[in-house]
Order: sequence, then structure tokens, then C-alpha cells
Amino acid sequence: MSTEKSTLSERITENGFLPQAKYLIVSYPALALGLFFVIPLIILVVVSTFQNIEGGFFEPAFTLENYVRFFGSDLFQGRMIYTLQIAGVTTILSLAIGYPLAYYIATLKSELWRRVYLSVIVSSLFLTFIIRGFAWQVLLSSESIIPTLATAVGILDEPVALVPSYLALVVGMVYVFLPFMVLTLYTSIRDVDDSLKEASRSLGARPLRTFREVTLPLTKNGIISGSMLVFVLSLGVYVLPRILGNPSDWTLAVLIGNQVGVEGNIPYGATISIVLLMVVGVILGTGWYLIGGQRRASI
Amino acid sequence: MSRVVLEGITKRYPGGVEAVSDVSLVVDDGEFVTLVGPSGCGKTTTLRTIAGFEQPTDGFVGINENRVNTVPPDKRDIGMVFQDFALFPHKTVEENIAYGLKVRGYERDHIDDRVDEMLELVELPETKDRMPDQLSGGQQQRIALARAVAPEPDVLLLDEPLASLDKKLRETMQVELRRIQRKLDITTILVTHNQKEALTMSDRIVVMNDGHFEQVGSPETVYSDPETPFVADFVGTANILTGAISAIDDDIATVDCGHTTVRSGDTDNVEVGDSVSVVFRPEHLSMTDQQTATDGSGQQATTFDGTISVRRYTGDQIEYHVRTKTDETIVTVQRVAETSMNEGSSVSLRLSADNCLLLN
Repeated sequence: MSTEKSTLSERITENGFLPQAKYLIVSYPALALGLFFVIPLIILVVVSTFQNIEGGFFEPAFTLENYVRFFGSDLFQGRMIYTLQIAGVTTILSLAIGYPLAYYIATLKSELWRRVYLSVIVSSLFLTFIIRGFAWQVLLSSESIIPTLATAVGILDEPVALVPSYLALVVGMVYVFLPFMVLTLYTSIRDVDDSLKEASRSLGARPLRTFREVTLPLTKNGIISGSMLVFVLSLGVYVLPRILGNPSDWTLAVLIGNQVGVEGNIPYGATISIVLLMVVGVILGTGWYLIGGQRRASI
Repeated sequence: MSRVVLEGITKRYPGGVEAVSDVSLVVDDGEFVTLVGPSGCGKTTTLRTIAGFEQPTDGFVGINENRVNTVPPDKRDIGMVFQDFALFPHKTVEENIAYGLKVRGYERDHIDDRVDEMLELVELPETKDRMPDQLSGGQQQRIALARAVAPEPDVLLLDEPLASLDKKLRETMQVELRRIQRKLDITTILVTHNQKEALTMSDRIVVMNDGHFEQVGSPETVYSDPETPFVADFVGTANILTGAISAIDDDIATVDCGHTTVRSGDTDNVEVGDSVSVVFRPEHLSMTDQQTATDGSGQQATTFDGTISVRRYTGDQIEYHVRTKTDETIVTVQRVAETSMNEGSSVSLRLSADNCLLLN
């Protein structure tokens, strides 16, 4: 087996490609990933260790000063916890509203109606966050329909502006991220075979028990994926807190923007980004472990 | 006593499609009844009506003398095996079989004993802790059956349970299913499109077509004495000619089928002048080469002369399609040991009048 002397025909594999062709094929995604994700990430990590100079400049250094500042700052840690908290609230509410909605649509007999409902849900994604954020700002302002209705029904004493507030921010975020939850859950619920539910019924289980024993466990992965998606998207919200929230409702992403745009402290902005990225990484890792763990158990 | 009673069941879907039209049936305690018919004939709808997954538009559904028309499936005390088995993929074999028992609130010890008993019954005790996707098709089938019968339901409903198995396994499972059904002595209703399955497994067969019952009877009756041309054609293979009766002499009818004249001894329900379908089974024809054939149609038999257009060797038998001089194709099967002829050979087929049925 001397490779030096092997003829071309010997080196061509069964499917007619040269052996090195596989490197060419793999190189495209590898290149794209490297160019657009890995290298920027490395730059971000490197910049986060640079020294800031007043006036929007920085110079190369290797300092952990920025990290020390972040973990020593009650303000920034408080914002971190607040960001996680509002992402958590958004996720739980999206799940609570999204599951029944997705279940209802997924179990409709008419394919036409399923498509109509899904189209309506997807169509809300056609508008950007910003426009939908401003729409809620208008809807929740003192003279508009929602405070007026709330007063008429007796929830409010008088029509007051509900925006900016924590409530407005949560409403806006759930509204924006709900479609992602519903679409993920819809697919997962559709995948549960009708005959499994019928088998459960035929064995004597009532509809609620059937849901608990069959549908819910079989849609567990959908619940985890949908929740992870909404949680991670919520962690990064930047526009909505500024439109619908008070400064006390600003998330870490807003602070990153301020560091870079207002303070001109690019290395510190990079540092906060890295910390946020690591949190996202831990959440994704946990989610994958939960889904994968279940899969392993069934093999 | 676990009886299933259907009286005048009609199922009409919104939009006017009538899947089942006015069917009635009583399935006795411990009886094995098969609903057989082509796809879309309403057999599955009928079964789902008994299960409670469909409500009849009209009629009476009774299990154990109780009207159950609007009773949901979980309150009917049925066991059901589905075509795709429908084992819960996230539960072990043990949990699957225990499901119906757990739902009924039995004690842990009783459930454990019953699960072991069921696993013994289907001869798969070693699969107890496996997940359904670790089982072969035949094993999944057995576990699905064990799960269905574990809570000792009044009625066992089988919806094409063998359709997804390969031929060899299907035949094994036919025997198995029947063995288990006899052992448990459970009232069973099977739905299948496979007429052979229906013939080999059932106490009684219901042949369905286009939403109604064509014939209800024992496998032997349905095969040897079909009431309609549809039944004759669907159950087994049949040669069917159409014609009019020109004479009846000495209990032998002469039927004029275009260019062919056929003799039949089946004269009880027909009169001269009736239009009839002439039905005879491939195995009732004897075949000789034309040179040795005796005289033409006698009083007691019909002779068809023709050439072999298709020859299909099936191992123990050979199936011949014979094209007659009057341009009809007649199918016959012959034992391999008796005759072997080639395509293109001229042959003579002889049909005794006793084996020739006349259906209105």
C-alpha cells in the first residue's frame, strides 16, 4: 500500500470523488462558522480584557479589571438578576398562554383552520419588535382603550397610563415571543399520534388523565425547546425595555448598549456581553442535557 | 355475559357522506367476529362506533345489554389493539401493560401479578423492562394485545392489528391471536381487509361493502355459499359470468351467458327468465388437454374450451388463466402433481353443475 505510487483511479472513492473532496465540502460551513461566529467571539473575548481610555478609546492589555468591576458592582449584578427574572417571567407566561393555544390549534380537525390560526400567529412576526413595542405603548397609554376598559370594568379607579411600567414590559415581551413558543409547541403536539390518545381512552383513562399521562410527557421536549428559545430571546431584549419600561426595567442588553454607545466604554460592554453569553450557554447546555437525557433513557 | 349488539347503525358525516348504513349485528359472548371488506367500506367506522370513538347518527349500540351510544370510550370497558400498535413510547413494556390496571385503581400487588401473567400469556416475560422501540414488530403486537386484555375488558376490538406485519409473522400472529382469544374466552371483533385472515381466524365473518353488510355467516358458509356476487368475488377467488336462465329441467338450470351456455344445479331461488350471476370457484374446475376431452356440455356439467393465457406457479398449486373461444377469462387452480401445462396450450375445463352457483 504505497500511497505515493497509487494511481488516480485507486484514490477515487466509490462515489466518484477524490478522498480530499470531503474537506472541500466541509470547508464551507466551517469557514462560515469561523468567519461569522468564532472569530468575532474571539475578538469580543480579547476586547473584554482591554484597557479603556476616556473618550471612547481603548488600548490592548491583558486585564481582568472589567470582570472584577462587573462582579463587584451591585448595579450590574442587580441588572443581571433582573434580566434573568424578566426572561423567566416571560417564558413562564408564554408557556402558560402558549400551550393551551398550541394544543387547541394542533388538535383542530380542519386543516384549513389550523393553517388560518398558524398564519395569524406567524403574521405578527412580520412587524419588527420596535413597531409592536410602540403599538403597545399606544394601547396602554392613558386615553386609549385598555385603561378605559379597565376603568369601566372596575380594575382601575381612573384611566391612567399603564406605560412605562414593569407590567407593560412583560405584556410586550410575552406578545413578541409568544409565536415562537406556540410554533415550537404546535409541532411537538402535532407529533403525538391520535392513536396513542385513543389507546389511553380505550384503557379507561379520562381525557385529563390521558393528557397528563400521554400528551404532556410526549411534548416534554417541545416544552423545553420552546422555553429555552423564549428565555434566550428574552435575555437579549434591548428595544422593548426602552419603549415600555422605566429605567428600572432596563435589561443587561440596554446597559451593554449604553456602555458602548453612551459611555464609550467598549471593553466593558464586551465584558458584560461575555457574561451574558456564558449565562445563555449554561441554559442551552442544561436544556440539551434535559432533552438528550430523556432520549438516552429510551435507547 | 359480554354481548355486543348493533341495531340499525348509521353513521353520516357532516357533508352527507354515509360511511355506515343501517347495519345490525349481535356478537355473542366469547365469539370471534371479523368485519372484512375493501378499504372505505365502513368496517373501521363500525368498529370505532363500538369503541366509542364515533357516535352513530342513528341506531343502537349495546354492550352487555346496556345502551352505550353516547358513553365515552373510557367508560365502556373495552380493550383495543390498533394497526400501529399505539404503545406508549415513553413507558416501558411493564408500564404499558399496567396502564389500564393503574387507571382502574387496582392495588400495586395485583397490578404486578397481572402484568407478569399477561407477559406469560404472550410469551414475552423477558421484555418487561424494555422500551417499545426496542421491540420487534411482532413483539410490539403481542405487548399491545397484552395491554388491551390486561384489565379484563368485556370486549376486545382489533383494528387491522396484523396489517403492518410481514406475511410470515402475520400468519404466526393469526394463530397466536386466536389461541389467546380462545384461552381468555373474550368476545372479539376484528377488522381486516384481508379475506384470508377473516376466513382462518373467525367464528363468523361479516362481509362489508359500501357501508352495508353483504353477508354474515361462518367462514365455510361465506366461502362456499356466497349470497351476492360481491361476496363471491371478495372472499377467495371466483369466476363470475352473467346471463339469463333459459330453462330448468330436472333441477338443472341452463344459463345463457352470451356465447356460453352454463349448467347449474343451484335452482332453488331462481326461475326461468331471471338474470343471474353464475359463480364458480377456480378449484372446482378440472382441466384436461383438448385432445383427451370428452364430449361438450352435458346435462350435468359445463365444458369451456380455450387456451392458457397466464400460468402462475405458486408452489403447491398452479393457477391458470384460460381464455375461452368466446373471449372470457376463467381462472382455475390445479394441484402441481396432477397437471402441468404451458401458456398457449389448448385445454378443456369441466365444471360440474353442483359446483356452479346462481346469484340474483
